[in-house]
Amino acid sequence: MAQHLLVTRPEYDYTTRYISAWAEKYLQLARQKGYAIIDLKRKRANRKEFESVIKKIKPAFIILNGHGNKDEVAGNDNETLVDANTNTEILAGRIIYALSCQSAKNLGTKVGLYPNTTYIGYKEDFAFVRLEKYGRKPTKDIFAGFFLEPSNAIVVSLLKGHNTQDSFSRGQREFTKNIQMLLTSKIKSADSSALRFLVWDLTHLTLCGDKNKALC
Amino acid sequence: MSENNNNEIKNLVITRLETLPSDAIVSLGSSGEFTKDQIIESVRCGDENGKKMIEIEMTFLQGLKDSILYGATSSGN
Repeated sequence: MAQHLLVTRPEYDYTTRYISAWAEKYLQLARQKGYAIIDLKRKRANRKEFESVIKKIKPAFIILNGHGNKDEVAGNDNETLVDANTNTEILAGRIIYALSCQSAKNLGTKVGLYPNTTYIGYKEDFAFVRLEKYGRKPTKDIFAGFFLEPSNAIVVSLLKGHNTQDSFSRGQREFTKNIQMLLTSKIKSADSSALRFLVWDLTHLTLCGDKNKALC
Repeated sequence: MSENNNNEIKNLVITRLETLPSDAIVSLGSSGEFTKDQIIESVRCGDENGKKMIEIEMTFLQGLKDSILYGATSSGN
């Protein structure tokens, strides 16, 4: 039986539209690999539907794209989907990757305490730089790709069946690879200005909970 | 930290930010999105976003010191 993948993709500002567009890249792979995808996009990224789908479908893998803070991750129009004080239990027993600001700090730490559960996210703001001219074509924005490709690499690794620690390390390596590439003298200074933000994201990328869990 | 040190750090951060492409938009998550000029002005006037940028720059400099840029990374919680 196909494993279920739940992804939230609010699209109500440039940041959420960018991360939603870049999510298409790993969703294509997920389709090829036979995952059953529940795509809570735009208005469907609301708490009622989010909780209902999890209770009914019990997805093995949940990807949260959206704004957040140390206690919560939001969906459409900043509606809270999950927060550290009310509904963390719905994430128990699953692998969660949150491309969201700060949520690994309290929410991820709490979720990671459930048995057989992994939460990968960021303990501080996920910072990235985009170029204005690509506002309507986010996936053409190579500058944003310096940040969003390493993030996607974590998901791709998990979809391929690697365990959470290996996938987390893969993300770290991809961030580091981009950092090293931008340090070389052949790179334009404008591009190397991305460095400080990449180091920030790499520093705050965090794995909470089970390091050996994998999708099989 | 003395005012002189503070100003030196601000100037360093601003100098680095000036190398951003002219049409760059910096996304700082829930803090919002900022043009190059806006984020430089935030650093100059010392508001919350400016303080965040200084923190980001300090993390970068610490990363250089700790060799994080050369592949030394942590394994999570």
